[in-house]
Formats: sequence, C-alpha cells, structure tokens
Amino acid sequence: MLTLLRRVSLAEFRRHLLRNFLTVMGIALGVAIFAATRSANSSLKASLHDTIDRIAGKAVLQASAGQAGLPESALEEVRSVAGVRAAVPVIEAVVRSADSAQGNILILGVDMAGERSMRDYVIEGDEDAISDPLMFLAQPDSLLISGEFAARNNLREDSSIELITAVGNKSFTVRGIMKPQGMARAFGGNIAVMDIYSAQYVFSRGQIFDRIDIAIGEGLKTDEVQRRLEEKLGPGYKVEPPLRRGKQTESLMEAFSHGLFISSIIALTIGLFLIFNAFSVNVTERRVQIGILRALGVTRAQVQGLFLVESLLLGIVGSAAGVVAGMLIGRGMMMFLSQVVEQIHGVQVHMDRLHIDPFWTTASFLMGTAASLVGAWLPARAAGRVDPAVALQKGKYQQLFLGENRRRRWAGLALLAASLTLGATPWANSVRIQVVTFVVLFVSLALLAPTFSHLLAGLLRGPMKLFFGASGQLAADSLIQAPRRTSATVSALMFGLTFVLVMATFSVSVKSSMMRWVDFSINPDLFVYASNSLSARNFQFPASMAGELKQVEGVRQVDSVRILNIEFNDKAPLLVSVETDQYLRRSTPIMEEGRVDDLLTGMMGRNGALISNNLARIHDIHRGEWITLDSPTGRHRFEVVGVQADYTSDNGSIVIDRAVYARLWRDDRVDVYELMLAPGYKPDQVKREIQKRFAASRNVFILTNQDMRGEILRITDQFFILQYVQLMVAILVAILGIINSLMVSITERKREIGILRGLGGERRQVRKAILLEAVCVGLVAVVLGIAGGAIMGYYSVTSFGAAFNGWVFPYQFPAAIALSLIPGVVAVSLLAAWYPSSLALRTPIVEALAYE
Amino acid sequence: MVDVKNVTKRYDGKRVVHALRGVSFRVETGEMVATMGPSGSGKSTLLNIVGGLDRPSEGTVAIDDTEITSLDDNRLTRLRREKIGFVFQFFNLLPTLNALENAALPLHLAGRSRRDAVARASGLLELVGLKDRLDHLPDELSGGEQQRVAMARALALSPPLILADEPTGNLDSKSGNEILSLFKQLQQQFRTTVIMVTHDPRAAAFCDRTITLHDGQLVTGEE
Repeated sequence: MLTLLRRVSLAEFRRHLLRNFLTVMGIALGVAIFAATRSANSSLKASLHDTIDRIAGKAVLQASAGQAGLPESALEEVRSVAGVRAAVPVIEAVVRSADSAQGNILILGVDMAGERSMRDYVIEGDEDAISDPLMFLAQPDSLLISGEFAARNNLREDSSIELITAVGNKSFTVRGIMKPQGMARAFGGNIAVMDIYSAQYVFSRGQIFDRIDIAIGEGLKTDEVQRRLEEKLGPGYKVEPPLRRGKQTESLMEAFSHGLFISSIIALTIGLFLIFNAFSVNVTERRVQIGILRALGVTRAQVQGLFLVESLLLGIVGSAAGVVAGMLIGRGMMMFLSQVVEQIHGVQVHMDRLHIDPFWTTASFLMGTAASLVGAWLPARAAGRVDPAVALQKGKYQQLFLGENRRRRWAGLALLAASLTLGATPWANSVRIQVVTFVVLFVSLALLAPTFSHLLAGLLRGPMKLFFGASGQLAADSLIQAPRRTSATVSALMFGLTFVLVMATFSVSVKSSMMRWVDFSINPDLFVYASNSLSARNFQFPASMAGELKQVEGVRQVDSVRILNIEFNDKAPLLVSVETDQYLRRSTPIMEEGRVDDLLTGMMGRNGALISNNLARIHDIHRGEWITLDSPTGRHRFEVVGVQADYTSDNGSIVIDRAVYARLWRDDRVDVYELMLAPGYKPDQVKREIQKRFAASRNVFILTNQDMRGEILRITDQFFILQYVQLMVAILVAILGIINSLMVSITERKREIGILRGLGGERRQVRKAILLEAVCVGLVAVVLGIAGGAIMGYYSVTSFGAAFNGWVFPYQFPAAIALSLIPGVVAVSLLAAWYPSSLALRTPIVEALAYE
Repeated sequence: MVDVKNVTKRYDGKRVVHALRGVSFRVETGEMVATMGPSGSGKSTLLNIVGGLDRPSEGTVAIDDTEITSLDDNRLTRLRREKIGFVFQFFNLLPTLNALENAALPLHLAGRSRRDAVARASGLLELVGLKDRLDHLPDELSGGEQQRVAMARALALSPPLILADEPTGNLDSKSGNEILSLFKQLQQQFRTTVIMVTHDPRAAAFCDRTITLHDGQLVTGEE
C-alpha cells in the first residue's frame, strides 16, 4: 500500500492540486464551523461553571428559593440544622459601571460576620496591618475589587467607582484590592465584594437574600445534610450543590444550543457531499490507471483501500486545518454568543478566553475525517469494481450512464414515507423521535435528489436548446451524462439552500406570529424597567413606586408586573404576576384553550394560572388540569384556566394574579411597570417626565411601545443571525463543490470539448456551453432546494421546533427569499464556472481529442 | 487545394522529438490521397497540422490559397468549420446526441437555422444509409454506423476538404470496406478532396495516390 501511495497517489495529488485544495477547503470549512460552535458553547458553560465554582468557596450546598429570593428568617432556620457548620447569606448581581469601558461587574454582597468561614480573601499590600479586611466593608459605600479589575482600570485603594444601581448611579470607594487568585478570578476578574445590607439597598432586594451558602461539618455526608435542610425549609426552597445551579442555567439555553449544534452538523454534511463528488470523478478519471494496476496484480481490496487512504489523508489535512480555523473564528463566535444568551435568556457570563474543550476538538477532527471516509466510501468501492478489460480498451468507455439507480429511488421513497408516518404518531412529541424523523427525512431527500436532479435536467434540455442552441443543449446534456457527479454537486447546493429556506421559514413564520402576538399583548404605552436588560432582571422596584407613577401627568393606568424564572418539571419557565383586572382591561391574550372571559374570575385572588402554549405542549397540560408550584410558603396547586399564545420564553410562561404571588412568594417587588396613558399624551413626553421625576432617586429604563416592539424584533433577529452565518458557510462549501464539479466536468469532457473545437466551435461557443452548464446546475439545485426547503420548513415549524420549545408556528413560505435565491444562485454558479471555462479553452485541441 | 511547404514539427521537452521534418506536398482539388507509414512516422501529426488542429514549428500550409498557419485562433476555427470535415478513427461522436443531432452539430455551430440544419443532416444520413437510425444514440449504433454518422457530420457544411484519420481502424473488415466505398462514392459525388491516414493497404487502394512518411519525412508521393 505504501508503494502505491508513494508512486501512484502522490503523483495524482500533484496533478490535481487545485481540486484537492478545494476538497480540503470544503472539509476544513465544515469542521471549522463545527469546532467554533462547540468551542463557543463550551466556553459559555465553562465560564458559567468557573464563576459559580470560584464564588462558592467552601460552600458544598446552597439554599435558594429561585429568583424570588430567601427571606432573612431562613438564615436562622438553616443554621439550626444539625451538620451545618457555617451558613452565610449572599446577594449576587451583575451591574454596569457608569464608565462603559469598565464593563459589567459581578457584585457579591456578603455578610462580614460569617464570610471568612466561606471564602478566602487575600488582599494586596501590607496584610499584617489588616487584621480583618472585611471590617472595611462595614461602610456602606465600600467595595473590595479584584486585582485584575483594578489593573485594567487604573484603580487603587480609595479610588471611586460609579455603578448603575436600582437606586440611581452610586459612587463606591475601593477599600481593598484582592490578589488575583481563587474567587477574585471569577467572572474574568470583573468581581467586587460589598456589604450585604448595602447590596440589599442598591439592588432593591428589600429583606431578601439571593441564597445562603452552606459549609457542613467534617466527615458528614453532603446528601444527609441536604436532606435535613430540605426537610427544615420545606418544598418552596431548593438545597443543592453549587454547580447544580449552573445546570439550571444551562437548561435555559438548551433549545438555543441544540439549534447551533444542528446548524454546524449541516455544514459538515455538505462537506461530505463535496468529498463524494470529488472522489467519484477521481475514480472515473483514473479508470485506465486502475485497469493497469489490476492487470499488474493489485487486488480489488487494495484498489478500494488506496482510494480510502487518499480520502483519509485529505480528511486529516482538512480536519486539522478546520480545527485551527475553528479556534480562530471561535473567539468571535463566543463574544457574539454571550450577547445573544444575555439578551434572550438573561444569563450574563464573562467570556474573554476561548475554552478549547479537548473532547469537542477531538470530536471535530474525527468527524471531519469520518466525513471524508464516508464520502469516499462508495466511489472507492466503485474503483475496486472497475473491470480492467473494459478500462484498458480505448474508446470503450465513451458511454452514457444508464441513468438512475432504481434501488436508491425506492429506498428514498420508503424513507420519506417512514418519516412522514413517524411524524404523525403519538410519539412525535418526543425530542428524540423528532431528531430521528428529521434525519430520516433528510436522508430520504438525499436519496431522491439524484432522481429529481436527472428529471429536471431532462426538462431543461428543451428550453436550453431552444434559447441557446447547441451550446445550451450540450450544457443540459452534461448534467444527464454524468448523473452521479452532477447530482452530488446539486445535492450539496440543494441542501445548503434547503436549510437556508428552513431558517427563512422559521424566521418569517416566527416573526409573523410574534408580531401578531405583540399587537394583541404588547400594548402598554410605556414600559418602566428597573434593569436595563429585558431578560437579565437584576433590579426590581418597590411596590410603592406604583403610586408615584400614577401621579405623573398623563399616566392613566399603572400595572405592576413581576417576572422571574422558576423551576418546573426540570425546565425554567417564567412566572409572571400581573394585576389581573388591569391586565385584562388593556390586553387580549390570544387563547388556544379557554376563553378570555373566564380569566378574570379564574385568576383574580385565586390560584388560577394562564399558561403559555409552549409550556402546555412541552408538559402536556391542558385547561382544567392542575399544576403544582413551589414557593417560599410551600407547595401550591394552581388550576390552569387557559392556554395562551406567548413567545416570551422558550421554556414557557405561567401568569398568575399579583396579589396571590405576593402572598405566597412573600415578594411584592416589581420588575416592570406597564403604563397606559390618557388620551392626548405623547409617550415620549411622559417618558421624559418620569425620568425627571426619578432622576435623583433611582435608575429607570423606559421603553415606549415602539421601542419594545423594535427590541423584540432585534432579539429575534439576533437569534437567527448566528444560524444564518453557519448556513452561509454551508452554501460556501456547496459553491466550492460547483467549482470542483465544473473543473472535473471539463476534465471528463475534454474530448468532447476537443471535438467541438475541431468541428469549428469557437472559444466563445465552448465557454458559453460551460457557463450554461453551471447555470443548469444552479437552476436544478435552486428548484430542488426550494422544494426541499418548503417540505422541511413546514415540518420544522409545525413539528420539529415544537418538540424542542413547544411552539408551533403557522407555516408561512418565505416566497420573497425563495425567489431571490434564483438569480443569486445562478449568478454565483456563473462566477464559479469562469475559471474552469478558461482552463478548458487553454487545452490544445489535439491533446483533447487524444484524451480518453 | 492543399499546399504543404516544408512543414516541420518539433516537441520540445526533456528530449526534442522531431515528429515531422521538412515535409512538402500538394493535393489537387478532388483528389483522394492516402497517407501511409509505420507507427510514429508522423502521419496523424501531419493530418492535424493540415486540418488546423495543430500548428507546425516551421513551414506553411495553404488550403484553397489561404495560408492557415498564420491565422489567429478565431479565423482558423472558422476556416476549419467551413472548409474542413473530420472523420476520426474512434468516431468522436458526442454520446448524448443522437445520430441526427451529431450530424447537424456543425450546422448549429455555424449558426444555421434549426430547420435547415435538420433537413441537411437528415439528407446526409439518408445518403449514408442511416435513414432509420436518426434518433439512435451512438451507443445504440454499431461501429460502422457510428462512422457513417461521423461521415455525414463531416459533410454537413459541404467542406471542400475531408481529413480522415484511420477511418476504418476501429472497424471489422466488412464494415471497413463499406466505409471506404462510401468515402469513394461521396468523394466523387461532392468532388471533395480527401486526405486519409491509414495503415490499411486496401484503404490506400481506394485512393488516387499514396504519400508515405517515414521518421517524419516524406519518402514517396510528393506530387
């Protein structure tokens, strides 16, 4: 084998450097996208875990009551449990510095009394003089900052930092600088410590802690102490190891992560087609060579092995290049991902270093290599089966392919039927079944693509001949003549286009549903937020602020809304509490089960819940059934009085009456005041008035109804941008396939081109035939891509997406985007064909005629 | 009709190969000339140069008083289209075109209307005895039939010169004889000049005269 590789394969590699380069690029691009996406995702998780882990210190357990927070009284209850060595309350929030260059800072509000038993503080400077550095924090404006943050921002002891807090911009004084180790390195070093009671004030926590960190006695089992704590605190509280909290946060981002993973697999799959294409043609070109080798005694298995080893080598080179490229683009992807995750899910992470996960790096490399082998498998098998007698006879191979493989066609139809049937079964709601169905549908389209490609090429023959004469006919004939080569190129481009259309279908369908929902549900004139992020709600308003807002001229109605993530059946839906009567006066929920008229009586002052459509679908809950929610006052049952369309969270939402929430969760804070204005008052005018009124006492972030709609659209668009970027890369890979395929087409048709030139075909006529062939490839691919996109787009919005996030969107075919693809793809095909056509015209006629 | 003067062809590589060395001859209008010689004597090279498919290293070729060796590619292509018909040993038909389409191809390339092209090609195919094979693809035709299609194609634009490179080389003797007879018949009917490269003495017997090459040099048959 080594001899064959050295003497035969190496010469072939050198002869077709450009083609091999294009093939390697295809694999590299697919692997790069996959590696970059995985690395970015890993970085997100690693950053999250790192922060949690560093901050946890000696805590082996953490008690919390979700985002509602723990009452101060819970601290004594925790401390009274046997086995608890230390229990310290914590408030944790990410705030913005008034100096935007300083960025976000994670503030840890701690109780000095017990804090040293939980975390180590190593302070820079003369440590002997500081017997208890935390004494400094007794002053309410004191901060301890990390050395990294101090160095980055030129801060030292006694420097001032201005932070944007719930109660306005506040100035804090640096009382100490922590050495860059342990906890001080959490959140990328952008961490500061302050007194917990100051934190309660600036973050409007009232008398609430975010959590209690717990250290247990030596030799005790964590499980046992955890059980005791859970018993003591009751069902509304959670007691868990610190990293478990990270898992909950990750579950918020599950659907998004899945989407990224699928998009990156698509890029890799299209690279696989490229390999198949390249090797199919390689085998055809080298059949005389194969015939000679077989005549000299090389076995079928050795021939097959030779081609597989060649593809393996290309795959290794491409995958290695892809992994390196992935690391380079991973950083950009990581920064973008952190923005999207914050805006969509409210999760704030600090990511400044790409985390290279050895598992995913190796997996990316292996997947690229495997794709290479898989793509080359069939061509290598065909190479082993070349009949040496036929291959060695000059002129014997000038035959048409007999056309379609009937077995493949039937297999494709059978799989298509299977996927449609599976999608209609009761198990179709399961994510696993949906993934299987999706893959089977994809494979069925892959198997049927050559049939349709052949059919369309046949249909093109007539019009091409009519409009472009002999050149046009020859162009269409080229597709028919080599169905395997052509269909691989067409399939690659087709799948890229299919997935562009699937994303476009999602985007159009989602946006149209969202806009309808926004019209019905997002109708306050003004939204007054305590935090400057819609999803990362770090601050809340006191309930008393409603009265102050009512006094602002022009304000007719003030609705107090509290929004927090809760844990419900291993998901993290939103719990939204509203003033039911006011809420229903101004908005009309789009009901999927139940009637709007029943909501007031069902919810106001009662344990009634209005749940979102996706929550209902994910957990299979219907109107009239009961759900159980855990709160700080225990476990409570709520009757589902209705199911509404709601696109606020892909984990779903549960709306209950505010009075009920305040009573059961002991929390009357407000995340957003939704205001209705009196007739004649302009939103901007009232907005300015409110800002003026509260300028001295707190920060308020006000959005008009227009602003809010724009923000919702922007967040939606951001979600799709990353997917589109990946798909564009997939299209790029497919375009490489067109160039590759056309170059190979030139080689395969060298003799034909020589005949045309010999018969008096001018250069421009030959170039025209080649360009028209590219147009034909593009046209066939775009028609099949649109058809494939229509089928898979429908399936995605009605079934596949529903299994992940419960939403079923009314199907809307993205006609404008589909139509725009046609000239776009044709133009790109023409550009891709230019270089191959120039190559073709450079071949001397005599050489071309002698080509076999 | 054809005037070849002192044509030399060299291939420069690691070793210089002299394919033709100062070959000169004339072929008059309406003549059928066989070019013979052992393998490697330069017969096909000479034919390619006369047909404008290749260019000589030195010397000139004139067809109908037009010196082709100095023409640019486009003019040479047009001349080839209008004045020369080719018949190859391995037929060189386009595999996706049927007999009628192959025969009409030069007419399409020359911009003739579809109707004219089809009419002319059908007539030629009938002439060569393939009236019932118009819609057959090359791999549905026998070797002899394919060569007939090639001959019809070569005559499509009524060229004054036909160049045939081993036209019977890939045929059995019966088919070969039929092809040679057809050549003669067409040559006489259309008063076409034919230069045929052949190993086959029977083919040479059909021709008016023979020129012989050996090691790139003309040995006999200058005039």
